[in-house]
Amino acid sequence: MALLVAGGAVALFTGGDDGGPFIDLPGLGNDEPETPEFAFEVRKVVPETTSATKAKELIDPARKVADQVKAVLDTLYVQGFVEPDAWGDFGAIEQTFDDDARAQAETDLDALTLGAAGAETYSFLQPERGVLVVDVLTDEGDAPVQALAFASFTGLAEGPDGAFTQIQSKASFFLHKVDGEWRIYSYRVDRKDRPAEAPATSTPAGSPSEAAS
Amino acid sequence: MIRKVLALVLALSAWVGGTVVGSIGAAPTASSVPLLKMGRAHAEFAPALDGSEPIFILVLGSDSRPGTPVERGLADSIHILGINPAKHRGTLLGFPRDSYVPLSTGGTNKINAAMPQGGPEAMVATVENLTGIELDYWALTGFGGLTQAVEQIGGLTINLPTQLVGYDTTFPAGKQRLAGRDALQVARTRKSLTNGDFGRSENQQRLMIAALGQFRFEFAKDPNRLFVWLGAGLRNVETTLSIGELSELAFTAMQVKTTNVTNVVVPGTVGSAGGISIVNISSSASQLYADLKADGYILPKALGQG
Repeated sequence: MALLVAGGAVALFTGGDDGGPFIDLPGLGNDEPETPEFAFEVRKVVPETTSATKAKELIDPARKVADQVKAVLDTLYVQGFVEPDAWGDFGAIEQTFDDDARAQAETDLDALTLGAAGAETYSFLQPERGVLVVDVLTDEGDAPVQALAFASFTGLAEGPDGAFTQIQSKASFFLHKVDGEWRIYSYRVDRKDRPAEAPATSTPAGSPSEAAS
Repeated sequence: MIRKVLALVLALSAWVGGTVVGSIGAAPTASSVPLLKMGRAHAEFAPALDGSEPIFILVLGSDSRPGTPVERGLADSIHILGINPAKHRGTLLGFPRDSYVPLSTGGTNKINAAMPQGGPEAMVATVENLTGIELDYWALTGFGGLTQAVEQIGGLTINLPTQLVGYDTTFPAGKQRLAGRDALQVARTRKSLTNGDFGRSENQQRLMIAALGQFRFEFAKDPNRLFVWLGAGLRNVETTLSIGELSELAFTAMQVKTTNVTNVVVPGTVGSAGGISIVNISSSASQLYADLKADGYILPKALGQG
């Protein structure tokens, strides 16, 4: 009996490579899905001026801001939707918000991320699309001071029962600089999830596709 | 020293010339629910503007012409805007420009004379002395600022209760879109009004409330309008404060429905002093000041309107 248990344990922790009984335990076996890569594509950048300077003259600094804003939102969406180890963990995304916004953001975890119970509901999410449009507001000296990012994200989530759900997040994020870093200070997020068919070309857990962009 | 702020909505006021939840459970039952409205969220984020303490802003419109510093013109549009962030209510309390009051700069004169003598700060001190209300911010612009700002936001929709005969345009009663020059005319027209300066002050308040309503509407459809309005405001209104402070005020103002804004002009009688026409503010105005000071707004029923 002890040998059987020991043998089972070996099979469990080795993924059953020896051809013995296979027990698929998420997080332990070699078939654990790899986390897909994800990054937003910045589709459009729009400078908004408060001075007499023409907006088109500020497109280059606005693009730089857009790249920095993209990095913040990449973090938010990777940690919030793509990285299973971070699902439900506000600590993984709190640095993307300014101090005043954090308390509110924590209460909105279900809208801002896959959800506080995401790890129990889903086992994997494959990002499908992530697009940003970034407006950059400049001050009277034409320095960027605020940004508004419209984010559109979709992904296909697979539950432990094999059912698929399309996850859609459309959001507007206002950001400003805090100690030199862009941080979200206000936002509006709409989550829309709906049942989905399994992908025609099977992308089983553990076979992530290329990054969204 | 008073903090100087020009809120987005207030900037327009000043221009008025004369001022998921997705399926967290089972996937097949997914639904779409907007979880968070930006205004509400930001109220949470801005404790300074979200408390129970009311905010008071002096909204000034200068009669200075283009090329002349707005702070040295006569203040022909004078309103206190009170906001109670917690209750999402506001009140506009207007003062006829001819109100004959003690000036902070010395002597008694028409209230609008304080500005050329001491700038917006003198106007603030004069109004504070008159009302006992401590003002938090001021906003100021002139004719050109109002005109250009309204143009830059694409016009302003106003609902006039009666026909208004302006300098060269007659505005029918009802809802209509005003270009910048039209907005200035509505704000400045006085002679054709039966109640003269009082009626003009009321029309200025109508423009301000229209601006608030339009901004709320536009922002709900497209958050980018915040930047557009901020840009239009800051290009046409002087301010020493940061855009961050302005947007905080704008977020605060967005929580106030136009139906929750009461507008009233201080009561008074027309008279004369030293051969000039003046307005003597009635003693009953002191009750309005006290009411507004208490919580940042006056309910319509206190004015016999509700």
